[in-house]
Amino acid sequence: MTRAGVAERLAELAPVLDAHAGGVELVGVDDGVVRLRFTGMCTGCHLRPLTTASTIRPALLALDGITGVEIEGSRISAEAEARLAAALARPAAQYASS
Amino acid sequence: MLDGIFVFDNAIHCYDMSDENLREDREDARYSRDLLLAQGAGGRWAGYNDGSIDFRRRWTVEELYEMVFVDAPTDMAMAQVVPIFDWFKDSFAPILTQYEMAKRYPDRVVFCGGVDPLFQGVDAALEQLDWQVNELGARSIKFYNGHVDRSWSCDDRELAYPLYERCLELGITVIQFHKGIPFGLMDLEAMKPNDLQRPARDFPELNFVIHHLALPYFEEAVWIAARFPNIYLSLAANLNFTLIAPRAVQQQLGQLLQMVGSEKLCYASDAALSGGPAPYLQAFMDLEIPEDLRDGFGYPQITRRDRENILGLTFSRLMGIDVEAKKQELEGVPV
Repeated sequence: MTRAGVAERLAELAPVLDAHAGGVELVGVDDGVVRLRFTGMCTGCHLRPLTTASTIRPALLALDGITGVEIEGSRISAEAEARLAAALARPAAQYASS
Repeated sequence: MLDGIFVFDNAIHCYDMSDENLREDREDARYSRDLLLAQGAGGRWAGYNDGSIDFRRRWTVEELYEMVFVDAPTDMAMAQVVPIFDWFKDSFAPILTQYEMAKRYPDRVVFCGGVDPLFQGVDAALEQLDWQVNELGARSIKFYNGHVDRSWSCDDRELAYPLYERCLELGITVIQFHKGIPFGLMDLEAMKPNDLQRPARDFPELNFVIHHLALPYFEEAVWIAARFPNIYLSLAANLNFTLIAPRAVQQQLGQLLQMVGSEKLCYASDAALSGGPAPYLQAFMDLEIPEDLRDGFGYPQITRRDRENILGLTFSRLMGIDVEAKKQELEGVPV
């Protein structure tokens, strides 16, 4: 996947992040790993990890050749990432019945 | 270098804490100087805190060089003026001494000037800026807005903004602020980093470095640096506590990595007052974010890249230093 292809996908996501009064910019693509930087109101937001895990990362990992997504500026622990991923993978119906 | 990592110390000071530099017209001069010495002693390590070194004196550039570059794996450092005149005739870390250090060791030391718009007056401070940048080669400017009785606010449009404008005119893009850690009997509130938000908005071409994590205003510093793209944090003397209170440093560092990111964090030793940096540099290399903090707070584990950023890459980027070229330049050159 080329840098242009990643940029194109990010442009598609831009309206979603506009709703957060923020955005994300492409720092680079290196060996299949995309590096991004949040902009606008997203830069100081505690919910950045959720935006990354639920919106940005799945959209970029769906591209051929993309194996990872890293965010510059801040990140959460692997333990928290795993917890978040597990929660997002759980069907909503399971929450309703629990 | 430290385990192959380029170390650029954001702040060293060649102090003059001698009796001769104390102001006779200030009754609190001696007490405040001694309090500064005691603060420094609190963060020093073996070999530097056993009474064998007299810190109550005028340091020479050779002594400071030995402490920072010979006895520790430092590659570059910025010698910063401390424009605190409250108790000192020639300031706490005089202009010409810091300049002398950079002139004596031009490959490794960068000069950072300093002015005060209240003590000197705005016009005189502007003239000082011209002189320090044009004649002495200052690459950055340090400000201390907190004083006893005569503090000024960093967002003051009449006192502070003319200085920022002049910095830009002179080509200075990195300005630095002592925040937190009050000296003597200064008002603590003056040391809040909050007054850097408006300047950071109004001067997007300038980069603002907040020192000491603004302790005890750590949360404010984090929330400000996380949002403003042109605000950076210097861990000036903060890593000294890695051996005293590792848990506190782990919590601070974890939150910084989670909220701010190591691309905006710089290491500074504050030597000579805080002693030689070698012991806590090694402690920092050994430091990890423990599992309970990773799990309970979501703080990320510190990576080698984080250590590289904090110890040298972030400040090198700010100062326009090509690290790979500098490594080659210094390779084989004896310290």
